[in-house]
Amino acid sequence: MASTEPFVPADDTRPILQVKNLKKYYKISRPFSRQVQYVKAVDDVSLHLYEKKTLGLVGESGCGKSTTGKTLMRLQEPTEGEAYYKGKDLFKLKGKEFKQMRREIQMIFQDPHSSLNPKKRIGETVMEPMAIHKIGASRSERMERALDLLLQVGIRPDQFFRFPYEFSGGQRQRIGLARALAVNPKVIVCDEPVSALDVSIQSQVINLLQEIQERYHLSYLFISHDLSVVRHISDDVAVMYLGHIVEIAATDELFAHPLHPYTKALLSAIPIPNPTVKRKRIVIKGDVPSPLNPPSGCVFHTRCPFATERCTVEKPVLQDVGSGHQVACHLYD
Amino acid sequence: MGEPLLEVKNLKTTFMTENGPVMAVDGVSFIVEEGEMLGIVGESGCGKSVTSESIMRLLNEEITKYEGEIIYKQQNLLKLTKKEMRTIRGNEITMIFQDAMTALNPVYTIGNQIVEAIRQHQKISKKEAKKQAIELLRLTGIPSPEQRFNEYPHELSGGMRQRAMIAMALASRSKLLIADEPTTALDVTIQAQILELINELKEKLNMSVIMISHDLGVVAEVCTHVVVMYLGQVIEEADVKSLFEQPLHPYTQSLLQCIPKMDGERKQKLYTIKGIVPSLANIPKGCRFADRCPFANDLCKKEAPVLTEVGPRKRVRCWHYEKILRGEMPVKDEEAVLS
Repeated sequence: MASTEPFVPADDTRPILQVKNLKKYYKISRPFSRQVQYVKAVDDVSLHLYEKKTLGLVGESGCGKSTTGKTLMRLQEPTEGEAYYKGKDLFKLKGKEFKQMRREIQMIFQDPHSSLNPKKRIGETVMEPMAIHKIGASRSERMERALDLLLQVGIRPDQFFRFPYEFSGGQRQRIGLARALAVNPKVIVCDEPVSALDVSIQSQVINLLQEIQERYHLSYLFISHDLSVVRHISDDVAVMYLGHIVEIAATDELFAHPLHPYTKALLSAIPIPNPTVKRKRIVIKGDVPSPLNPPSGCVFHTRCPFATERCTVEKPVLQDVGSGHQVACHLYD
Repeated sequence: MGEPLLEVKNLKTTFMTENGPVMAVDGVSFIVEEGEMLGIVGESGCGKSVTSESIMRLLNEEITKYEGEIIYKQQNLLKLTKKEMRTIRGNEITMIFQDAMTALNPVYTIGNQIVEAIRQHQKISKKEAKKQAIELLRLTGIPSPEQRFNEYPHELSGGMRQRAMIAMALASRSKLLIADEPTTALDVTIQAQILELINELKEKLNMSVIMISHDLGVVAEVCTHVVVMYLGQVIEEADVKSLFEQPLHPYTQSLLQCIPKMDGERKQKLYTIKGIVPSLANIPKGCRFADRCPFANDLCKKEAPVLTEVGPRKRVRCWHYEKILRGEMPVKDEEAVLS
């Protein structure tokens, strides 16, 4: 199904990354069965990431937000779709160009315990990508750069030769960021970078991410299930449900005027640390359906309080409802 | 108000490790009133889970030393024999855990496990127990419970598993439910469902609940009274409204400021607490929060403050609380400091 043009924010910065109709299906075949089924993890996702901006990608587990991030890194090959970076389709790059792309798009991960090699000293971990991408003429030059980067993320030079287990979760997350920065990236895909951290550490890492973004003119694709964090850090926010983008808008607009029933429910479900605020919480029934057998029509109709006959048959398309706010829902046709 | 349902008095839980004793819970006291939802909050390593596991006596007692008292119905749970404790556990006090997948037995159907729990506590036939189990599943909002009865934990979604575990905890009609981060592993929309369910059941069955959480939002929404812990100690206790409106301990204040607000200025630098939580093996001499506290002075670094009563069920452990109470020491946005 053709979707309308991806979301364009009010000020006219250039998109650095344009994703068009991205699909990622996983083939599932049961033993002794000829029947082949597909898990539609990402189904027809289009989005723009703008220079020096942060695009928040929110949704609950299994909605395809991480898969979207991984296919853009080509950690997983997409089933269909295009992603233009500097005028070239990322998904078609090979050889040298592919390696160059990998340098410019980097990723940081959720679990700070499994994303660093436990047998490598952290200094070595930060220097490795530089060696691969031939940054720095000599080992000593690379070491100097690594020391500088680590210092920028708050790791002291005397910790250079330590192993990951000697660091706390927050520190490890910062080492992961230093490693990503080592190769001068333009885009960083942040996959739940603060979800595993305690609140006091979380705020340190969020501040650091913002500082680094400004200093190096980075664009972030910020994947998270935590709406208050996403609201804080993102310029634009896309809400995903079951492989689809259901709503996308500038952050303030989305949080002030959520349109899609799912976004509304999601926003009302966030616990707020203020007992005097009594909100009307929209509790949506049931669980997210399996992406193996997604509902017909609108994927949200099984849980939607406003679902009509039409929603069960016809798939809604993302459409602009004014000032760049896009929503995929028949209520706004 | 009468007698509290549970009273924890000066509880100290020490683990005998290879590198010497480590006191994970150091002199924790609080009470749980009948029909109340008490929140215990703190970051990882603050001792909130060890406190709850001490109440249930779930820790390996060969390497764990308990001191103090846990009074439930005029008896000290810490003095009970293992056999006596078994009659309390599950009967009087039950617990639900963060990760329902590992808390449920993967090789038995959930129906089987609930029936087992029911028959532990009541002398009834299997048929009768099955009827009750299905009723419990229905009570926790599981759709088509007759069918779910025969399913294995892996066949259920995370939210459904948590409901099944709650159904099992309810099997014994216990008076006190300890919920250890029951919604942390769940998505927000499912979290909302489970919190609503716990609240509803608490009212319906007149239970008391101890809700252990790191999420101040969750605590603010469901609890009536809150205990804040830091590095094995209670640092503040208050009713939920005054805790969030006027937190008295600098740690509580800082913690609340760290969270990005839903109505706050976006992209602003967030408040940070400098440094990290010290290790339990290396506890600071004075106030345990002094190294990270914006108000710490020489006194704080030398001498540990005591937990001072400032009102009914309102306590704070800080040398400066009087000034904070008068509003003379607001936590201000400091320069972000990295450790």
